[in-house]
Amino acid sequence: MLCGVVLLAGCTPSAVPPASLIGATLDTLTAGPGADATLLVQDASPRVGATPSYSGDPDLDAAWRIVAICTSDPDVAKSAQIEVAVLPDDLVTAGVDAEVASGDFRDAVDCAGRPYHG
Amino acid sequence: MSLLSHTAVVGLLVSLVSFAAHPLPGDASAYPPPKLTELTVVSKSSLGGQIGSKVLASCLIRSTGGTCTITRGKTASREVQLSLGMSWASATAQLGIGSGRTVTTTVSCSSPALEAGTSWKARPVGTIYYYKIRKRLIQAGHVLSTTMSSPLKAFNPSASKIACGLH
Repeated sequence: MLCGVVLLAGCTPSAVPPASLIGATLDTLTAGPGADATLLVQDASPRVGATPSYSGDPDLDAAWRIVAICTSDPDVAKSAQIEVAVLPDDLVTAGVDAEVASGDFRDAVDCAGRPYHG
Repeated sequence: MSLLSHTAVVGLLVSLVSFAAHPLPGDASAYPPPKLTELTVVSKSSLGGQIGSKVLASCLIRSTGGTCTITRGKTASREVQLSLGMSWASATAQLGIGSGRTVTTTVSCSSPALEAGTSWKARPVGTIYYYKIRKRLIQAGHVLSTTMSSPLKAFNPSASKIACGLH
């Protein structure tokens, strides 16, 4: 009943801002609002002293955490291009989380042609 | 019947051009046969596994020692040169390639560990076709004139192949 009321009111799905995906696992993006976009994935592991190991296997996306993102549209779901920097989930300590929250990883993505930063 | 000749027949573009005379009404036998225009892809050859010149996606490494993976969803353009009035649909049919203007690739590629500031680029891989277009004006089975285009080229990107590298 509530859905019907919402539809009658002309409600559209709400936009997904890129910032909302910071800290989320990569599958949240690839199986969700970024499913149809061209996706660039930067493995930022060297920033935490690890060897990069991202393989592009979508079955492993749940094991990777998004630490920076930029998109070609303010709504991730409408973006033709999305760029993310990722770290293996097991390397995201509380300290790394704090660095991500303070924007230390913002420069881990290039964002050329993708001006909407997370 | 070979695939080429089959597609040539299917893709044959025939159009009524003009009547040369104006007979009296009711005198059907006095109408001259119509002139038909036939457009055909000829002298076709192809070369597979060719790397396209347009960059599908480019990724600038931002963490020294980091990698970049360019994933699915990249859109490659299908390029077909036309001449003598042949349509896109007829040319692609006679070449035996899809008629869509773009192809969405389904594969990804990862860079090795690179220095920050290095660009990792993906380009389409596909088949290049070389051909000409022949235009013939035909009346009652007789070829009145034949015109041949200059050499033309088409690029048909593969959905399942891309080429990645630093250049």
